Amino acid sequence: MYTVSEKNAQNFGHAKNPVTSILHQLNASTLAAAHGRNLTYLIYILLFICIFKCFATNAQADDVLNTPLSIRVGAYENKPKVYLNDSGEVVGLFPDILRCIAQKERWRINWIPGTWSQCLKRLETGEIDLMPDVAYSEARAQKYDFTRETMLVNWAVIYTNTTQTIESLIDLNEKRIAVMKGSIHTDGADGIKNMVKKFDITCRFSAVDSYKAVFDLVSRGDADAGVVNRLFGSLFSEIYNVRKTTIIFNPRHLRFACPKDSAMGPVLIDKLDQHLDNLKKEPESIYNKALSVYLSGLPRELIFTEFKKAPGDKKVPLTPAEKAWISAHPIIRLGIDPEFAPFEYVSSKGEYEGIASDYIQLLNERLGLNMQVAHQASWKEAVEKARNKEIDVLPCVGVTRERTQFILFSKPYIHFYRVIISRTNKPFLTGLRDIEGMKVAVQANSSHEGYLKDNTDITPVPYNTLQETLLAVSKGDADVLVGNLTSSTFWIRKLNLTNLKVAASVSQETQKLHFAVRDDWPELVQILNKGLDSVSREELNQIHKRWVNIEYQPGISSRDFWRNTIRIAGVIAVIFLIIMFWNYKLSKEIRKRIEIENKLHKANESLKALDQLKSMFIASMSHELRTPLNSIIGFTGVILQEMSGPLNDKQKDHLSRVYSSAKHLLSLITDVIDISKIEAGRIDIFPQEFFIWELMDEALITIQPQLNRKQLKLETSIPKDFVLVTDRKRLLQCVINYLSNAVKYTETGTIRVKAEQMDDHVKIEVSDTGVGISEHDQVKLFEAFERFESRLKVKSGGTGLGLYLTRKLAKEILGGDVQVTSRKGEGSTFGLVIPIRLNGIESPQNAD
Amino acid sequence: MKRVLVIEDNENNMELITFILEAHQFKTLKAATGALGVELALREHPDFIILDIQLPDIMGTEVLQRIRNAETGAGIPIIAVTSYAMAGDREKLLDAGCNGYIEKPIEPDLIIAQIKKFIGDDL
Repeated sequence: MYTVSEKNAQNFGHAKNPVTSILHQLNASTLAAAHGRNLTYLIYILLFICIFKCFATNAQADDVLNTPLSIRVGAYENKPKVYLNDSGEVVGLFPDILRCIAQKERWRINWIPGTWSQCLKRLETGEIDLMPDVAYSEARAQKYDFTRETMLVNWAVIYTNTTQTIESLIDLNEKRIAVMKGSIHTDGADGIKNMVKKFDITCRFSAVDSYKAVFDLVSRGDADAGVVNRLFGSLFSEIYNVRKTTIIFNPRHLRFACPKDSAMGPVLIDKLDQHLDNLKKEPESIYNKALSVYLSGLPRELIFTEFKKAPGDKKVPLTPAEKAWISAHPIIRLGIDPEFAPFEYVSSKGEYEGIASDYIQLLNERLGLNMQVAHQASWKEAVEKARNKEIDVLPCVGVTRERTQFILFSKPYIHFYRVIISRTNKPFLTGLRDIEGMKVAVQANSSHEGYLKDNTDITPVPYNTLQETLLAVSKGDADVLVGNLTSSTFWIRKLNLTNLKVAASVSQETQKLHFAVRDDWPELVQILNKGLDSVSREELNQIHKRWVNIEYQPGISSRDFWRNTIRIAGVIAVIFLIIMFWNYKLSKEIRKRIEIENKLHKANESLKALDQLKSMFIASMSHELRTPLNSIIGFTGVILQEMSGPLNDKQKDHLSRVYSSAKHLLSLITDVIDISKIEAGRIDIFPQEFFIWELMDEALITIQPQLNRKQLKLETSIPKDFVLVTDRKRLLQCVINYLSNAVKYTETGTIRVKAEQMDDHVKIEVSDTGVGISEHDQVKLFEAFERFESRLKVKSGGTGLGLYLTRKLAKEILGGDVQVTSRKGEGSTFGLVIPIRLNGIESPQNAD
Repeated sequence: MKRVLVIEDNENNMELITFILEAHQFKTLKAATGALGVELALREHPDFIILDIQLPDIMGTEVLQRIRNAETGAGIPIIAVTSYAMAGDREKLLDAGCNGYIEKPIEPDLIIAQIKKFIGDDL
C-alpha cells in the first residue's frame, strides 16, 4: 500500500512540467471559455497555478517514487455509456476514454461492477475512487467532487412520427405523448410533465416501461409524440422510423465523480479535466471518435481504427408516400450559381462543381433522386426561373424574406460568415453601421442583397457576378462589398486582387445555406431533410475539406478580432454588471438602513418617554416616602431635645443614631428626587442675582460642624464684589456637595475654597489634602453610586449620588461643567465652572 | 399667652408642630383642612398662623390669599411650611403675602428660632 503523498507525488512526477501544462491549459481554457465566464476562469486558473506550484515542488522531491496509481472505478450497465461487452470487458463511451487517459497517466484501473445505486453508495463511502457517467447537480456536488469537464450532455428529445407536424412545445397541446415510467425526463423537476404544466399545455401521457416501447407507440401512431433521451433517440430513431423534433429539454451534464474530499480526488479530477479538454479539441481524438461511434450506433471497433469514407449505400428510411413522390418526379431541375465558388460553380471544363455538387451526388444516391443541373447561365436568371417554377430546386441559397414568398427551404447544410470587404487602404471598419452612406456593392439576387435591404438603410449597388462585385471595389467603383467570407476569399485569391481585405464581419452569427425547393413541393423538402440528416460528421468533414481546404488567413483576422473584442466587451460587461449589482445592493442596503434608523428613532423616542415616566414615578414616589420620614425625624428630634421628658445617656445615644440614619435616608431620597426631576425634564430653574461670598458663607456654615469635628483648617479666597445670576439653591447644593466630600475624605490638613472670574464664567474650586483618587477611578467619579475605597465607604456615609447629582446640576441646570484633578494620596481639587449669567435670563425675583 | 393657628392635614405633623409650640408656651388652634383654617383665622384672629402648603381641600396659596383678602386677616403673620418638592413655589408664596417659610423636615431645636426670625422677637 502506498501512502497518499506517494501517490500524489508519483502522479505529478509524470507530468513533465506541471506549470507548462497548466499554462497550456490556461490557453486552451481561455479559448474555450464563454465570454462572461472568462473572469471566473482566470481566477480558477490562477488558483490552480498556485496549488500546482506547491505540488510541483513536492513532486520533484519525490520523483523517485514512480509506481502506477491504482484506481477503483465503478461500473454499471448503461449502453452505450458504460457496459460489459460479450467478452466481459467494461467498455463504452466513459470506459474507453478513461482507459486512454489512464494509459497516458499510467493509472491502473480496477473495475468494481455493481448496480447504479450500489455504485453511488460506494462512491459516497469511498469504496471506489472514481465513478463515470454521473449527472451533475448542485445537490450531488455537495456529496461528490465532480470533474469540471463534461463528458457528454444528455437531454430529452421529443420524437414524433412522420404524419405529425410538431415542431414546438405549443404543438403538443391536446396530443398523446408516450413517456418512460420513472424517468427523470418524465417525472423529474424539469421533466416533460412539469414543463407542459408550466406552459399551460394539456397532454395525455402514456407511461411505458422502456424507451423502446415509447418509440413503438410513436411509430405505430398510438402516440403523437414520445420522449426519449438523445442517445437512445439517435441510435434507434431510424429503426423505428420516427422523426426528431426541435423540442429538447432537461439537459444533464454527465461527468466523472470522486468521493468528497478524498485524497486522490483532486489529482484525478485535475488530470481528467486536462485530458478531456485536450481530447475535445482534437477532431481525431479518441473522445471525438468514441462520441461519434457510440452516438451513431456504429461498431465499437471503429473507434480504434482510422476512419474510412462512410459506406455509400447507407439507407435512408423513407415512407411509402415519400417513395411514391420520388418515383412520380423522375427529374428534378436544379438552378445553380455558376460563380458561387467554392459552394457551387461551373468549372472551366463546364462541369458543375463545389460543396453543393457533392451533396447533390450523395443525396441522389441515397434518396434515389435525380437532381440535374437545368440552368447554369447566371444566378440572376436562375432565381427568376425558380420564381416561375421553370426550375425546381436551387441547391445552395441563403434565406431572405423575398425568397420565402416563392420558395421552401430545407435544413441548412453549409455555414459561412457574412463579411464586409474593402480596399486595404480604407480606414478601419467595425461593422455595418460604419458603411452606411458608402457605396456598397453586392452580388445581385444574393442573400446579401436581401439581408442589406431587410436589415439596414443601405441601398446596395448590385453587380451580376461576385467577380464583378469584387472588381468594382478593387477598381474603386464601389467603396465596400458585402458577401460571404468563403467565396469572396476564394475569388480574391483567384483574381489576385491584392488590394482587397476582409474589413469586418457583419455579425457574429454564421449565415446558412439551404436547398430551396419550389413552394408547391413540400414533400421534397421533407425528403431532402432526411437525406441531409443521414450525412454523417465524417462525410460532411470530407466534403468540406475537399473544397475549403485552404483556411483563410487575412492580415487582420477579423474573426479573431471580433471574438476578442466580444470577449473583452464581455469582461467589461461582467464588471459593469457587477458594479451595477453592487450599486443596486448598496442602495437596497441604504434603504434598509434608513428604515432601521427610523425604527430606531421611534424606539428611542418611546424609550425616552418611558424613561421620563420612570423618573416621574421615582420623583412622586420619593415624595410620598418623605412624609413619614419627616415625622420620624421630627419626633426623634423632639424626644432628643428632652421636651417630652429627660432621657438617660444610652437612650440619647440610640435615639441619635435613629435621628442621623433618618436624616441620611432623607438626603438620599432628596438626591433621587432631584436626579429624577432633572432626567424627567421637570425641574424648574430659578435664576436670581446674589453675591457669591454670601452663597459661599451659607455653604461653609452648613459644613462648619463637620469641619470642626475633624479639626481641619479652612482657607478661603472669595472676591467680595462678585455678583452671579444663576439658580442659587442649585449652586449651593453643588458647593455643599463638594465641601462635604472634601471633609469626608480628609483626615488632617486644610480645605481650600476659591472662586475666581474667567471671562463670562466663574470657577469655584474646593481642594483638600485627603486620600486622593487614582486616575483610573477619576473616570468613574461622576457616575451614580461610585464610591472608592470600601474602607472609606463605611465611614463616609454619603449617598453615592452626590457627585452624580452635582454634575447633572452643573451641566443641565447651571449650564456649566465639573472638573477634577487629583493624585492618589495627595488630595483632590474639584472644580465647577458655570456662566456668570445663566442663559441670559434675568432673574424675575430678588431674594430678600 | 400667644395663640397660634396651625393649618395642617397630616396628623403626625400637627402633633409635632403643636407639641413643640406648646412646649414653648404657645396656645394652639388646630385646623385639619384649608376651609376650616380660613374660618378659624378670620374668627379667632390668632397672633400668627403656621400653614402647610399641601392641603387636601384647597391649595395653601388659596388659603393664604383668602386670609389676606379678608379685612380681619390681612395683618396676621403667616409662616408657610413647605415640602422640598415644592421648591419652585416658594417665591410665589412670598409674593402671595407669606411672611416666611419653613422647610420640612421640622427641626424641633430650630423651628422656634425660624419663627422668631420671621415675625419678630417679641413673641
